[in-house]
Amino acid sequence: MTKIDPEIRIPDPIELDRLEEERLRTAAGLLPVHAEGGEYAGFDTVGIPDRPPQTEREREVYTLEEGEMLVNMGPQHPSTHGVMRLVVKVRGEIVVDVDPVLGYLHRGIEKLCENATYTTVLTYVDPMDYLSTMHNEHAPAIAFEKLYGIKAPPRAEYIRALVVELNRVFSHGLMMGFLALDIGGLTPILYSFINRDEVVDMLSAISGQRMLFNFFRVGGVNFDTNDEFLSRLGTWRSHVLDNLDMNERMITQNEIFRGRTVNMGRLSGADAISLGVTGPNLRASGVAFDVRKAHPYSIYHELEFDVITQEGGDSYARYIQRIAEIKQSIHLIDQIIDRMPHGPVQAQVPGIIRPKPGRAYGAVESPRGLYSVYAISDGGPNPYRFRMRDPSFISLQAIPKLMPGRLVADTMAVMASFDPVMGGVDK
Amino acid sequence: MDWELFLGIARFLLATTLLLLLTVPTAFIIIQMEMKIIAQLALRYGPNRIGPRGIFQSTIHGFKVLAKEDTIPDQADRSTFTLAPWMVYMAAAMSMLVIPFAPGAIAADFNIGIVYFFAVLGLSVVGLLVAGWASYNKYSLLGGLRAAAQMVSYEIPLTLSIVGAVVLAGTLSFSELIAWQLDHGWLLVWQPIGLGIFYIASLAEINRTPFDMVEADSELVAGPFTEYSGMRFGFFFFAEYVALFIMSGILVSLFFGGWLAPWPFPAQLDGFAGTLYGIFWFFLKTYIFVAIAVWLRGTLPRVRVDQLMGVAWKVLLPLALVNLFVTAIAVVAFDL
Amino acid sequence: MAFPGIGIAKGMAVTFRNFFTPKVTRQYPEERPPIPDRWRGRLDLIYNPFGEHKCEVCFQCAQVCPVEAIDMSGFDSQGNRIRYGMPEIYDERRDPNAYRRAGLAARPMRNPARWDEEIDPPFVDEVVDGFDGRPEALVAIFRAVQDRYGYLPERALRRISDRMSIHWAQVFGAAGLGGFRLLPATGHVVTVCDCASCRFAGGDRVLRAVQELLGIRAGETTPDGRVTLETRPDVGAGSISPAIRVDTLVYGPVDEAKALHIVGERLAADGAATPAGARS
Repeated sequence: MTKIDPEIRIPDPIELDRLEEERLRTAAGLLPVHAEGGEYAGFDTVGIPDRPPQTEREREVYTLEEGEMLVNMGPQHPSTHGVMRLVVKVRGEIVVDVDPVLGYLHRGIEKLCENATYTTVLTYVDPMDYLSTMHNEHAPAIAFEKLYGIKAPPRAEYIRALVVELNRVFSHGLMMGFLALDIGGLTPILYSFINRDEVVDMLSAISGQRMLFNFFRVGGVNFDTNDEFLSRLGTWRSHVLDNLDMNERMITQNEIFRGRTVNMGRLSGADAISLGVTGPNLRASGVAFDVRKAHPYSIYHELEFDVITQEGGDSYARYIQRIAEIKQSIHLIDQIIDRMPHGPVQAQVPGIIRPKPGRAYGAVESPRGLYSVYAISDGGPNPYRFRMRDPSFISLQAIPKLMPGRLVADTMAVMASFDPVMGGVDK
Repeated sequence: MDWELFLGIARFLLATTLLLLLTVPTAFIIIQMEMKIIAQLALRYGPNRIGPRGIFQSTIHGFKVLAKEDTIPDQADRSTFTLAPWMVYMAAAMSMLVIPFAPGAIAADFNIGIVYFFAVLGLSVVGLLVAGWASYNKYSLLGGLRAAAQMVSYEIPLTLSIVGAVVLAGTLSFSELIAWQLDHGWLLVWQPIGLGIFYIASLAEINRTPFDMVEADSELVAGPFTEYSGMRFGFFFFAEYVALFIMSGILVSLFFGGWLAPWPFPAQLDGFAGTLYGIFWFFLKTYIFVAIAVWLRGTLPRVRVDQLMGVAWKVLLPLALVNLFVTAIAVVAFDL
Repeated sequence: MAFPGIGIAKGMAVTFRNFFTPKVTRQYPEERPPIPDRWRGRLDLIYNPFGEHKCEVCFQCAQVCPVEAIDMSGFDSQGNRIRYGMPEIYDERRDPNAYRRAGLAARPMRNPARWDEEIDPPFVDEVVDGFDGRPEALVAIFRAVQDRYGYLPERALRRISDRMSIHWAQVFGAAGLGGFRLLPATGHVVTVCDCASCRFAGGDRVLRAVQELLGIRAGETTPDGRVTLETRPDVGAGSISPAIRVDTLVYGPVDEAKALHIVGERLAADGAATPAGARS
């Protein structure tokens, strides 16, 4: 019979794991996981990485002073416009510092495009900034046409401009809704979606899809307009301004909304330029830079429009700027419909194009700013390098500059006024 | 054996049981109203599959909440975590004792009913604070502190706004106040500023939009209720909607005549029919105000925490004091 | 800041008005959305205006699909049929279907006992090459293989499928026709024709007589393993109904007495060489 020694205690497997982990961490030079001692130990150190800071900025953010706390507005959050993590250092209710942690939606699109033919690339870029799909495709189309040395026929260019402006209308409309939602109003977002639904039905009549349109091709567009598209366009055009007005009336003069956005997140023009912020965010700070006027592409040199700016650069100005741009886009759509020529909608290109070796750059004005593509071709069927510059990524860098000194509740409101879309940020 | 005492105790027990039983269908009905009204404001239908036109949706939600898993965070303080929903719910339920439903249909007709009501309703603050602290979660902590600050600072304008009405009527009991309104007309014409302050303060006190920073789900997920699931969360949820009903009921009693019918109808009837008549008018008026609160929720964005406090201390409190002084002077001067 | 203000009142007026406006929700299962003509969400191949499939079977989609969900077959420029896709993926569905086409009960082909059957690969290759790998010669190839092995082993069929680049399911389905055996025969095989004309002519009486003689039912083998009895619908050729087949010889028209005589004779002459031709 075996003798059981009551003195020997078999350790708990969880305890063994913990000891093993401590041993390994000490060997690797990392800080221990369970810091004992202190009243609030373990509570405040959650969120600080357990290795020494690797950059100056990291040291600045993750060093806690007396009374400060790190709050994680985590990747799973009802209103971070996608998956984004904001590490907010707060003292009570006041924000001291903000560190956005990005990359949760990274899909490796730039690398994927290196193994895809040029036409396939145009399908890969659709889900980048998924609320402005047409702009995502427009920039690579411009770059590839420059590489291949062809021009799209005029009717194709007009159709491109038409769908691009339609996309801008509903993207800005959605921004209105999201801003109101983040501030607390539940209904304007639904009104924005009513508008978006109509536009998306229209675009599905012309391209066959409701969200990731895959409409552009190197050398033109895929389909010509058809009767269903034009009839839906007419119906929509007749009541879009009323819908917009209904939505605006709920928000624009609402005292609570104004109290949350006026004088919040004030970004000066000089700061915006130095940070690289573009698009409506820049124009709301007073700088009159619009890619459609500064570096005209497509048919914008034939259309009449002005560059709208606002003064102030606060969240309210960004909101008003987008409403003004919606009206401007509708005006542009009217001009395009008046002037559209007849003709083919796609130039004759082979199925797999092999441009000569070279580099090309294509930039468009997307609803979030300057969206551009830099493509390098090595003569083969796939691009050698396909680099996208996304405006939301740059706009997010303005947040840590604007937030210190404000309240936690303002973080979301200011961020929503910049209208980032995480698909574009993370590519 | 003292039959009166015995009967009194039996009546009290019956009344409290009925009230507790009343809270659940009330919460269900108000939740259903809220879902449908907010949906209709936003040009959509709301739930319309369960039951004819969706009227059983709320009941199914109730069953769903019962069926959920009951999780307690590992490092949370178990006893206080469990106690917090009870505190909030009991505060709401106890304050229902003095609501004047109909002549003779008040559970406990204290002669200091108003004081009792506001005192007991303030206990829900403790529950929220405890919930925020016991969850071992920074979000909950922030939410709980916000809730405490908000509710405590709005209690002062809330109670001060009705002191004018009390001074006018000369009584702290609900039934006598309504009797005064029977003779002198509804208090809303006598105390319009008091009404305004009371309405805003009551919305803030029960954490309804536009003052629902506590549960601002765009920012702090669910504030102090983040770690609660299943029936514990159900308690908080019910308590909020029951508190909405209670506040609307008190508003109606204080300023809109309680169980009295408006002008073309006879104000009050006698006997058992009078009780039913009073209950009908009371519920009708209360639900109108509940619907207005729901309408506000669907329309307005949220006020920020510091702006909330600013309004309470810098606007509502001085206004309430001014209202009180003017009323007091008027009572003395015109011998009302 | 003053809260009750015009802005709030305007907003509330908007929502109040919308409370009474017709709602925009589409009640989905009852009302379907109108699908535009160009809708690309449908899972079907598109026809060109001449009525032909636009798909050119270029295999690009199958090659690039990251989850290998696409399987296709077509003809290349030489006229050879080529296919893309792993048959093994679809085995669970294909094999029972092939069995059903062959008229047998559906069951998975993956009988582990059959995977180790030895065949002579060079022989099979020789047979296929002898016919130049033409798909029309499939039946002749089967006959040659069956003559060699007495039935068509699964491995041989797979080799034929690979070598001729014909879909496995098509090969297996073809093997089910034309009187080929997929299972090894035990002893002699007596097949009574089951087709319509043979039945009308009295084939069921023949079947009953043979069953009585052998003591087994159709589909079974005698306990000593000498005779297997089965019914097939493709033994006779119409004018010789009712017909029976013993091993590879077809006899018809027969009546009960003749059938019993034939079967008895075959059992007696066990192992003897098969005579050529049929008696009429």
